[in-house]
Amino acid sequence: MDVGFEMHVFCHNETTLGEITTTLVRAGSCLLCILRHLGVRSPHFYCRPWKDIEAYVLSLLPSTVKEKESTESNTHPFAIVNKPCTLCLGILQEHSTKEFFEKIKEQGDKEDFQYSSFIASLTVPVCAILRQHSMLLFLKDTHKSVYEDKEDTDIPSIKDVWKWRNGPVLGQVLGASFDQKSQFDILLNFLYPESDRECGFLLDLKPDIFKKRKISKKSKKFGWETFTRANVNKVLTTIPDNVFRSKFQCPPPVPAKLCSCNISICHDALYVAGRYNKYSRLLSQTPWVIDGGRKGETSVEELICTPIDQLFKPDEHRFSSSGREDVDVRMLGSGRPFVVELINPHKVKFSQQDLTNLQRKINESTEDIKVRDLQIVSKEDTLVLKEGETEKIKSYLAVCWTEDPVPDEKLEQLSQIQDLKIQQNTPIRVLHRRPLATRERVIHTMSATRIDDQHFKLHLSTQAGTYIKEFVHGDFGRTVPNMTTLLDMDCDILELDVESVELDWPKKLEEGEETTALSEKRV
Amino acid sequence: MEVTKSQEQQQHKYPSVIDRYFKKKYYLFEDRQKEAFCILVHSNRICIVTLGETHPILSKNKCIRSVSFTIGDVNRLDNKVSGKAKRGAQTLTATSPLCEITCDDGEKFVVPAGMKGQLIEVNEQLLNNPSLLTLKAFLPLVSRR
Repeated sequence: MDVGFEMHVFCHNETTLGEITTTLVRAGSCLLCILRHLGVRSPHFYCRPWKDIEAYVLSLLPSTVKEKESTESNTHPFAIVNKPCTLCLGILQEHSTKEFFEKIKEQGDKEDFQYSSFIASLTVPVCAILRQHSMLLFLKDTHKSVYEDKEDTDIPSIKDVWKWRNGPVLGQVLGASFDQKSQFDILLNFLYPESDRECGFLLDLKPDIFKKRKISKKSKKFGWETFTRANVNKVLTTIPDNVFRSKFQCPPPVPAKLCSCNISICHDALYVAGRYNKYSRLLSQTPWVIDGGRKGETSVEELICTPIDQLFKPDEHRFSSSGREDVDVRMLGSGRPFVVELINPHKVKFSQQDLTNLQRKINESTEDIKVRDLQIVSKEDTLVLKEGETEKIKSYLAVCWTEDPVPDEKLEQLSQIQDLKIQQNTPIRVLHRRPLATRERVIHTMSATRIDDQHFKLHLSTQAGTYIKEFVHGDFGRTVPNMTTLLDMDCDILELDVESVELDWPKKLEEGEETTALSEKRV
Repeated sequence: MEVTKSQEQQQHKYPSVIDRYFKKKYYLFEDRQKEAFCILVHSNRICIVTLGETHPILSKNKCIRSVSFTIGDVNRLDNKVSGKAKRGAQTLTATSPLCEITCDDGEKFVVPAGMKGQLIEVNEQLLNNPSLLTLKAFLPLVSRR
């Protein structure tokens, strides 16, 4: 027997070990699957070079068997490439070789990914569960004393063994570290076309568990998958051994060919947050498409996301902000918080300095918007954003016009009002895309500064979700009270600016030269 | 922020809410063309039915006693819509009556929808305050689909 490998096999009797190994070889097991079924649990055993593992297994075989095997067949009993393994279907054979790893690397390079660490997610064909169960039953029959108390879970899984053996090696080929916490995922989807057919008998045995599932949005990934790992595992525990043996060949049949592998590479989403100011009254927040045509050259979203996309190269981006303003409304003060979710970014190695440079680039590209505090945030952080939309107080400045000259006392009265409750019916201008409803909102404070007889500036701070324009002109009396009713004369709004969005997020970054210039730029 | 020059010029002739968002379209009864109705069409296709400037109520400065939303066997107050798509709305054609106005002198006028569409809401303020009609109040809100 061999040298200094630590192993915990199911039995230590040389003869019995030899018999079991023979059984496994004859049943069509590959090298690593033999080790699995012998109960080898230590990861670094599986990492030994193929030659050493081969030599070890060979050494277990009784000499009589060794001779017999070599004379009876032309191919070496352990030709790992020639005979598809009945248990792992090639996952621990062909898909554990350097050639396969090179393929993975090639794909990563072709798709232009940049990464320094990775995890591997394997999807093993469902029938492998049945095949393993079948092999275990066979071993219980032929080597009762060793296997009678063993469960499917006592055998190290194909996935675990694959990762133990191949994780570090793949890491070397890719030039990146194999790290459980990595955000870069290499998905290996192993496909064996006969899998469903092999599971077919379960449908007859337990029809109610394997109802065909409709393609819903969630199961789109799996299509018409009737047999899942979860339900097959569940069912196996309820099928008595003799019933299983009658329906499924034990030991499992030799597969016609190896399974194939779909490699897909994906990086977890990255989140870039910041605050933006909008100085134009002609710019929409998101691309404005109406009746199939584009209205407006660009939008806040595009001005911010296009440079970000150029840097991170995501498959797509999602822009969301803490509320939004109309096209003709400016966003002043310290700006509105936003977050850009980058789906599957191909480039990810960026420092805060890179982001500050990106921020400068965005700010230099246009006068219409300015961005500040651009930074990468975690997924959990983004939840704060939507909180700002519904809970925080917003401050505005409106330029108002009255039909008749408005007396000082009336303006003075406005400043006395605190926490005014108003009822707003869905404004007509959004009624085509919102349900009809009455919403109660609160105007916390107001103060008016006269411009002339019929014009004044109105500062207000209100509850989130208040329609300011409708509060001023009344929307045909559908918002009450409104400025028209408060001043007892027709009132209209000429201009509106958002002065602040009171959400203290994302973190304020140390002001560089450009951010100081920003705050001095506008009132 | 100072009032910009364009606003100063508009001090005397500033586009109102209606001017900014709506186009005015008129509907007339074939046989009684003086009874005109002005339908305000928003750019989002939602319409507001109002009395036209030449309508006798306005041109003859009549006083309105009451407005009734029950005409025949239809009660416009029963109209309930739900969701973005305004399901459950009463359907309207150009001649569907929306409400009946009774003036102080007893004369009655029917207000037609003036267009095909779904009824979104009626102005219930008119029940308590019918004189709003002669000011700038709106009648029912109708959507053109």
